[in-house]
Amino acid sequence: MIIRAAYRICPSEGQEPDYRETIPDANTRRRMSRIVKMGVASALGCLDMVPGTEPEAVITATALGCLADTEKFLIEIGDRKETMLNPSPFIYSTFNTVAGQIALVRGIRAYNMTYVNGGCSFNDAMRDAALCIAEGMDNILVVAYDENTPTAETVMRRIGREYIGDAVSVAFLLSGDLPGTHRIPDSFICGAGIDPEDMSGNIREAERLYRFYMEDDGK
Amino acid sequence: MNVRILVTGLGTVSAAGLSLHDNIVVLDSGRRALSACPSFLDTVLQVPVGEVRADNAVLKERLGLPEGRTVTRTALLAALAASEAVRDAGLDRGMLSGGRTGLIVGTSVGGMDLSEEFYGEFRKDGGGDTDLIRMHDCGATTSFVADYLGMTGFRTTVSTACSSSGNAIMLGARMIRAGLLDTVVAGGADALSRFTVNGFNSLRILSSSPCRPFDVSRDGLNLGEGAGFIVLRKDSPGSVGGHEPYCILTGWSNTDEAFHQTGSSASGEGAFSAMSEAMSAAGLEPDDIDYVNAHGTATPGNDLSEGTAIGRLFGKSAVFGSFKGYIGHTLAASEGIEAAFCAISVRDGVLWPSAGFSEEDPEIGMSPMCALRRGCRLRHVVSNSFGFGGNNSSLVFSGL
Repeated sequence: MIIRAAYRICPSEGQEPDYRETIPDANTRRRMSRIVKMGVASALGCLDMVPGTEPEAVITATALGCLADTEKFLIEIGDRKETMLNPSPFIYSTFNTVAGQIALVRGIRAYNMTYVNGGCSFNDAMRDAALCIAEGMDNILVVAYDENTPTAETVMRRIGREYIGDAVSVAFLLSGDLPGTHRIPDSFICGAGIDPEDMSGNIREAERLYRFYMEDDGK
Repeated sequence: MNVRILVTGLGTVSAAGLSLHDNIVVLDSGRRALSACPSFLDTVLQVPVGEVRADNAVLKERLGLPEGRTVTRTALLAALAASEAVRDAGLDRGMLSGGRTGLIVGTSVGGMDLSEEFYGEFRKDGGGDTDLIRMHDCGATTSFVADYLGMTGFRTTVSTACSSSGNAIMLGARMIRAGLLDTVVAGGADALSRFTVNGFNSLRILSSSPCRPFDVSRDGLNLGEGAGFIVLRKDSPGSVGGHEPYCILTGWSNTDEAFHQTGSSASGEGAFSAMSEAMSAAGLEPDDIDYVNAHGTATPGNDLSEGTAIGRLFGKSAVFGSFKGYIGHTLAASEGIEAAFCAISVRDGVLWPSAGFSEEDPEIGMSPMCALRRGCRLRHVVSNSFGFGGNNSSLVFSGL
């Protein structure tokens, strides 16, 4: 398996596109939370690096999902005493929202999957991508994303767990081996040694692969 | 020649009971296991639900866990159904702990049932018992089940809303076929939570009465909770022991409708392509399918879309039905539970009537099967589960 393109969004490091360009529809953009926008924009940015590509699978990976919308809906439930709630944060809190929105925005009717296996999510998504390629599919889109919130930050500190500093989304367009290109090392696919309870593992592994891609001359 | 994927163990927990046997007794009796409103879930919403009739203390007792241990309801339900499936398949300690056996769990709420309890306290004064939040992430449910069963091999967790366990089962089959695993325990679990009940209520798709799949007067779904797991095993000359297989998992497909985040198209494109692709993966034609277990949630949108797709693919005389009228919509658990029911259907030649139907919807132009049938020969059954994000999954179960 090789990487055809990769695209990272990390606002805390100033790596962030103008979402008006990647997601032109203003209504779609407005409904999306920050992490959904980031996940979708990283996917589209990645696809646009190889024009004319139609992915045959969309696979996303997240440790904790859309935390901001999840919390927003919990607040609504409490404050409004379970009546007259706005459904948007509920809809967009679903773990497969980013995968569904990527399919919706680009009309991708292919295989669509979301891994939520804590720190191992990204490696599990990569294993699925390898499986897709072995089954004869090509151009597999894998997107890892996670966001942090002040509440998550506090809770993680209280239970003594590591988490990511700020929201990150990394997208990869993957393909079968091609002559003259560098294979992705197996350690990114099998992910042995990663603790699923380490919630930062999802993004850490995706960023490790992103660095590998950026530094690799054979891409 | 592709390896055959046998279904060798089943386990279900739902409003209809804490074991597959209890669930089948309810289906046989035709009794709907829905309650008028939740009795264990703390909510102001008095809507009918398919609630598992055992509180967490009872579930812990069944599992032999100390009452004082903090475990999410989702994980308790999952452990109960998964351990039943594992026992049923005759998987011994050695097989469970071996590297060739995997566990794949689908869930949509994960540990939300305790997280929302924590969050109430946290928001009040920054406090809250942190034990309640430790199992929030979906993977924690899977880890709990794996540890409970002594499974040390591959494990993962998927979440594609209401099609989660359909996709978990599909992934298990793909991994066996690829030679990565020999045996997979796959399915899903979801507990009722204030979060989901309010979520579906805010979408205005909950019915205030027992749900009526495919009926002209249907006006929404009833949420349910539970867990369902099946054991998939590679059929090879060397594989001996364990349970006599129920059926074969011959086809699977997951496609995205790319139409709407929460709705489905009236023409049922997504359902049509998921069912067509699953059949073609199994090498089957529409005429080969003797029954379609519909997702059939009883929302106006789903049933129109799915019914239309079934009619287009199988013709207006298609035999189909929904289990949602018995146990409600158990979200990520639904295909896990219903796959187990389908396996019994295929093995025993039994079809249970689709509960809650009385009058045909002219827009759909066909009616679900409403009489108990025994002694039918079911060659192949298609089972559907569809989720938010346009995520559509279909599985095909075939007789031995």
